[in-house]
Amino acid sequence: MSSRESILKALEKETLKPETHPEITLDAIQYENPIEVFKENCELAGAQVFIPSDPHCPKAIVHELFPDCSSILSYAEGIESNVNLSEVKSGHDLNSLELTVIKGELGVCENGAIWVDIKDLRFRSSLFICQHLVILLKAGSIVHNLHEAYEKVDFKGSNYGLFISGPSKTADIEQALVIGAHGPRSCSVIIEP
Amino acid sequence: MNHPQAADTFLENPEHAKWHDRALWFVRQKRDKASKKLPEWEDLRDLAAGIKKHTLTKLSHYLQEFESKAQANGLHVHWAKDAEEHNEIVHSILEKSKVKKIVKSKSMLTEECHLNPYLESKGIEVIDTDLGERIVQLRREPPSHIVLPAIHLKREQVSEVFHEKMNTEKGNSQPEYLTEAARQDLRKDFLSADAAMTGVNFAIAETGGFVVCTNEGNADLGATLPPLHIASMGLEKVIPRMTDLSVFLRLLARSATGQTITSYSSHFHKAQEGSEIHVVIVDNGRSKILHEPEFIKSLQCIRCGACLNTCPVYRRSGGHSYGNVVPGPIGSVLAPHGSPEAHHSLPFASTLCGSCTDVCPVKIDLHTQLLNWRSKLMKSGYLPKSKVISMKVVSWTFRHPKVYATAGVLFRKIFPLLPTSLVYNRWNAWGKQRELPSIPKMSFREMYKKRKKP
Repeated sequence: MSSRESILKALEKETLKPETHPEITLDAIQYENPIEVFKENCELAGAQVFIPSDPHCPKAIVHELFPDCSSILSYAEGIESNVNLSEVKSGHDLNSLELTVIKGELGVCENGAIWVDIKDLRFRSSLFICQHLVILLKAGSIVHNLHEAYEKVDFKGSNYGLFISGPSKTADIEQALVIGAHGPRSCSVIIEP
Repeated sequence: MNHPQAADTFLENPEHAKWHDRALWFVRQKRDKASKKLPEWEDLRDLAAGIKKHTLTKLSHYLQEFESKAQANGLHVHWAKDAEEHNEIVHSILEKSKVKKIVKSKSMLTEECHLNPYLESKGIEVIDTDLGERIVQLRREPPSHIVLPAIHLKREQVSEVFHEKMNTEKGNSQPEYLTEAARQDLRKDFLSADAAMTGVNFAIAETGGFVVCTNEGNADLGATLPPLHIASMGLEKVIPRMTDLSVFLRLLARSATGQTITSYSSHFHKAQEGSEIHVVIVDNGRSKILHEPEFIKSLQCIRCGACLNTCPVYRRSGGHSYGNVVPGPIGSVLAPHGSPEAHHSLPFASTLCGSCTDVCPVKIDLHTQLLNWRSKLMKSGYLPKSKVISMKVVSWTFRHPKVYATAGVLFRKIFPLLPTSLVYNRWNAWGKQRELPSIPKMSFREMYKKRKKP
């Protein structure tokens, strides 16, 4: 008997009393000022948040934050890359990447997390190997809590998606928070109207 | 070595022990703050426990659903009945791709299977990439906590080992400096590794994908660079639906560190172009626990570490005193299943205060299970004679009220006359580091008799 069969058999050995699968019907938290709370929670997670009123502003903010940036990889409309992806053979070649700019699908108010699932993402490592990360997010895509987020996200056809909340960080040395563990040292969120 | 003996070693440095206790209590307080910000916290715990309870009754069904959906996504699924088979499977996958070096993110399961020494014996270099895990790996010691692997160390100790192994400045123990040094050093390993290993926080039956949560981004950076990613999961990690994740991800980080969510919660469904993802589903004694009604709930565990942080015994004895990969209350209920000979002292490493049960996000009845273990271990003869006899005497006395009352009177008369050497000696474990309470003049019984009747 293969291990697979013997494990499955061991799990079925005795019939356990059936239990129903509970429906997720709870009164989950709602906020009066979702964008404000979202901003607060992003900042608690170590991110910086910009709320420009002019829809053309993201580009200006990126340039102001990273003037003379020699390597930008952008998956977001309106922000230009200066890295030629056709010359990149593997994610390893992106090790000197300074900045990655991406679009967030959805923001979660209760924890400042942003759902990212980029369909034309060629190198997943580009989200982590860069020194800095900028996420553009539409204000209208912010939901109150994670239950609403999971209801809204379209997982069909999702190969690799993730919630990002702030920059990479650690507190493994004496519980002292240090930003910039292995991934981006900063995470800037630009909320577009 | 049993738990009390190992705890003695930890307590040899009382200043350090005090610091350890406070550091973990601080994490527990952060958890409290985070949980109180959600009015629905208790409903969430009920839901999480309910989903896990349901899943455990249909584990075989959900694992098969996960397998077929994962295969449809192009993932390779393997089954391992024990640690040995898990290690062999991992090695054979690595061997096929001629892997010389792997980067590994935190996985308690691979610790449980002692994968690192196994792969090293086969000539494969294993680099732990979580900062805490890297620190303990360089010190050649096991993690002392499932979420905070190096919580037993002071920054000076980290500085010392980094100076020795990574040539950092001697005496510079600033966390920022040390973290940056590790970042630079490990970046080279990320770039030169041929394969990556991660654990699995949740596997979703409905979609055939799995979720890995980290703060450092080490699991993602590791798993997305090389062309091979192996993820190991205990068979209890499967959950039925994608939407169930909303419940668990709300609870996990809040319970673990007081964060609302980890920096990265990554959902892997398909490998990227030119890469492979393998999932190894491991039993290693879990299916046995499934058929022990009094212990089944321990399989609900999501490894948040909240029960460790709150436990007065864990905080004051350190993770290494448990002599088990998973320490603290949850470790103490899991460890004796595998080897009661080695771990019979663990269910006694508890005050039975129940704080672990109160903070558990999936409502495992931890202190009840610890008590169940105690009686089970006594019946199997694992208790020292002295304890068995004294418990029998006490139990008999409690069942005979007259004897109890007389014994009390005699004790109160005789005890104060005893010389110190007779009271504080090696048989009085309780009096080792503290004074016994002073003897009251009257028993409750006597006070009750003498009371002024209204």
